Amino acid sequence: MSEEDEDQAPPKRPRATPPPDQVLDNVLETVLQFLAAPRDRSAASLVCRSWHRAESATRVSLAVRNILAASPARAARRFPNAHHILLKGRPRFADFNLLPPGWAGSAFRPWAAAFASAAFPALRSLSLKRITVTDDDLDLLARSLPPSFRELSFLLCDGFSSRGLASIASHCRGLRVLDVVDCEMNEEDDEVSDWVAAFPPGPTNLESLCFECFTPQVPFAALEALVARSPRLRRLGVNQHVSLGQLRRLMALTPHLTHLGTGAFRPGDGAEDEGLDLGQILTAFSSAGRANTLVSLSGFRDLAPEYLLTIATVAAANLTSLDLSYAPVTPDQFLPFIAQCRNLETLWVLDSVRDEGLDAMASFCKKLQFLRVLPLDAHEDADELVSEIGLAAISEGCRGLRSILYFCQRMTNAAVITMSQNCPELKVFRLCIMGRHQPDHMTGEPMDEGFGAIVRNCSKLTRLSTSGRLTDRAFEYIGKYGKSVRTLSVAFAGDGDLALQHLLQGCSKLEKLEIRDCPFGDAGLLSGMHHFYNMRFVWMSGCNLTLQGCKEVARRLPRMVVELVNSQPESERTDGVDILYMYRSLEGPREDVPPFVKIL
Amino acid sequence: MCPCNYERKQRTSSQTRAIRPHFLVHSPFSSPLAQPTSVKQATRAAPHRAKKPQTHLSSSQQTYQKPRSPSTWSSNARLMVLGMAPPQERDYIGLSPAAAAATELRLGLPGTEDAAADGGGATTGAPLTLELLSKGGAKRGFAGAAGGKAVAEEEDDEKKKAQAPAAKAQVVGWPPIRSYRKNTMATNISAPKSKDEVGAKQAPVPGCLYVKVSMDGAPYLRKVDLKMYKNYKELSLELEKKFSCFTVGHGESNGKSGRDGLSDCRLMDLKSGAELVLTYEDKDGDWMLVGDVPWRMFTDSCRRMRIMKGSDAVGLAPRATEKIKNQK
Repeated sequence: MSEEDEDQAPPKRPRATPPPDQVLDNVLETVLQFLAAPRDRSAASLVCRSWHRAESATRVSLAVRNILAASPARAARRFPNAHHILLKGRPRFADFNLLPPGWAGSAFRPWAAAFASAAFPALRSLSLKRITVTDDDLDLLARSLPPSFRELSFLLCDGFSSRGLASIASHCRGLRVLDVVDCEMNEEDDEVSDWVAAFPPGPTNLESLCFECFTPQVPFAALEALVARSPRLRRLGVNQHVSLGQLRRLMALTPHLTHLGTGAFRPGDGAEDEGLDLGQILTAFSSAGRANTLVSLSGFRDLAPEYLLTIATVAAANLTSLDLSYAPVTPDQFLPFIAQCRNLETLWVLDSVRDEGLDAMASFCKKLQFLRVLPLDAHEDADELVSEIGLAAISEGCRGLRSILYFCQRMTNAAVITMSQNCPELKVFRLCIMGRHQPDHMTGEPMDEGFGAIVRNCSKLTRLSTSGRLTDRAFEYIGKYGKSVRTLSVAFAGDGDLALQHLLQGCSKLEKLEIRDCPFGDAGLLSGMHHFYNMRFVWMSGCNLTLQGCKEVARRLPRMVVELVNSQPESERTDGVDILYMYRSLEGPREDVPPFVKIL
Repeated sequence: MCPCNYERKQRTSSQTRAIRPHFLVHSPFSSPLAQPTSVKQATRAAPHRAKKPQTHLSSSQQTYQKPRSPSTWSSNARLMVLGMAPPQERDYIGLSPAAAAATELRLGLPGTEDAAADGGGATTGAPLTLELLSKGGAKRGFAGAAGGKAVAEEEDDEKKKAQAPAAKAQVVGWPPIRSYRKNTMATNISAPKSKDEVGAKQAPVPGCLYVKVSMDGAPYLRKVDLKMYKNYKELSLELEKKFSCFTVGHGESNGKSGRDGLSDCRLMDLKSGAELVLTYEDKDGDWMLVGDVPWRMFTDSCRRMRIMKGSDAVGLAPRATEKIKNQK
């Protein structure tokens, strides 16, 4: 047999050579450690049993993008050495109140129990997205995580409160990252735990602390003390109760911050804000600017616009990421600021900056890649603040744009076509025309040509969200040209089943499909039977599906879990299917199903 | 049928009633002045019932007439008692109308039970009442209760018709912006800030404000959009609907409802005489009883709501509790 011991010293006499297949395994594991991409790893694991074993043993990053798809026990058996685990729960449309509360499919409890029984002994980081975590879960987690555990982040989660955070803070020694982003925390009325003070005394290893969505006030003294004893802190995001004066003091303690969530960005009433003036803030940001470390700003939850310019001249040039999406700035306030941000790559802004603000931004921020223009007043009949002019301006200026989310009241096909031609790098195109069924307001035609141009010209497009008046033709285009589209969101569009058929039969890489309030029925659904096992989930709500159609799908695809949800549990809907949410799963139907959910 | 308008139906039709708790809202400001836009609703004709003018409430007793139109409603009514429409079909727990009617919860002060029973006997017996501000001695006559069911439905249809032309119907979850963001922007806009922002022309007042409503014993919170309602009455009706499933199971552990527990609940609640009151937390973090301030002020300042036992609400509004004491 081959003596494959090039990476081992020649064995000494008394020690026997390990059997050759074990040597092969060692080599294999060493080599596989360099293979990072999950698809490559999956491919490697299919070669043969020993490769499968080796790959399982060396898989370090585990992403369970639908926690209903695989149980924690199964994941632990397959990938026992996972260091980083990402879990995603609810479907995205649950964020918009489309899923009634009590759906209970995104509970963290089984995973908490698994972690408690040492399922993943090498766990270092845990990221949760759209998962319901209770305080008891966090308590359990805090007490049972291995000492190597370092990073915990929550994105769009709910169900826990400051008490849970306090457990984590006090028990997870060596915690480096604690990020709570966009979560809906349930605070019990009077018992807000001071979780900041729950961190153990003495220097901490904290590198990132983010709690911008935390609604109650955090006692500033405890926060200041924590920041003072966290010398490694690089990312700090404070909530809207932290005033400008308090922020200044925190910035003085952390000279090497890279990401800063600025809280209210307005002087408050406390002792720290007495005598606060523009000069002091200017000084604070100029030291950050000199240190050349500050690259990302967010927060501005209650922006006092006169202070915005203090950042502009001294620190804006280094910024690559800016989140003004909670600050309703006018164009006059925005222009002088954005003019300094020449290196900006990510910008989230409200449409209060108007078309001229977007035009200015496009002329200055040539390196922009990720843009979100969010509505100040998210209503169909709100005033129009941005329009197709802004979109066209963005496409003229930011040729390297990769991802755009744009809310507007009206749009034209011409502007969308222009964007498709100017920005070939687009991977994510999400246009939300807030008026439902709105056609092109100049020509009166449906928005088919615009979206058709996007899929035709942007060959790298992986995510598309449509809006406005769309006929079946738009979906014909998407099916025909959108060969790399993986995520598709459709709302209030289409004429009939043919549209859905185009999508399901055309988009060969489609993985996530979200549809709401479109006239698609069983025939359209059944046309995708060949493809559903390749998809992560399908969501159809407010469409014309019937029980028979869904039963047919469930019958022919036994590994898909087909959930029918009644979105208004208070009233019985006897006709038709309200919400269809189906996903592939290794575990079969779940057990914690509330009465308004039916699993076929 | 394409349900393209996924409207949040507060009350869809007569077929979709379930057991609903009542909310009594103490609303001293229900005058035409304080109810700004409710006049848009069509006046409802209720020819089969005499319209009794609402007298200004004092601490003395008042026979209450169920309101049918904004004008009669808002003219100095101090109490809102919402007529209960008995369920027409199975609610999601699976109760048949008859069974549900028989097992309705009654939560109220002893004095009111008799009065309600007298008037409501024509329909399905004692309705469920959650008293926000109980007027112990005040007799409430459910004189209109006999026709209450029919009239309530008629009212609902008219309300729906009237609302549609008033503003474009709001669809659930559209535009796709998370309610946290909607609420935060609503707060930002509605409060004018520093000197330079007062003059600046910002966007108009946004039309939605989601607040969480929690109830003691319920397994999860609900969210309601305050801007969808024009007065306390609409809000109460919606909350009744949302929390009916919980009040039926109220008193059981974890609030899990079950058919078995219904009779037990009813007894328990009658025994303990627990009143449920609706309270809210305002901008300053104080907990107040719903109904004390004009509707507009309420929507501007309300952060979240909670349905709690009357006994818990003792410290909230001294004026109110004193009234209870005086009238007991």
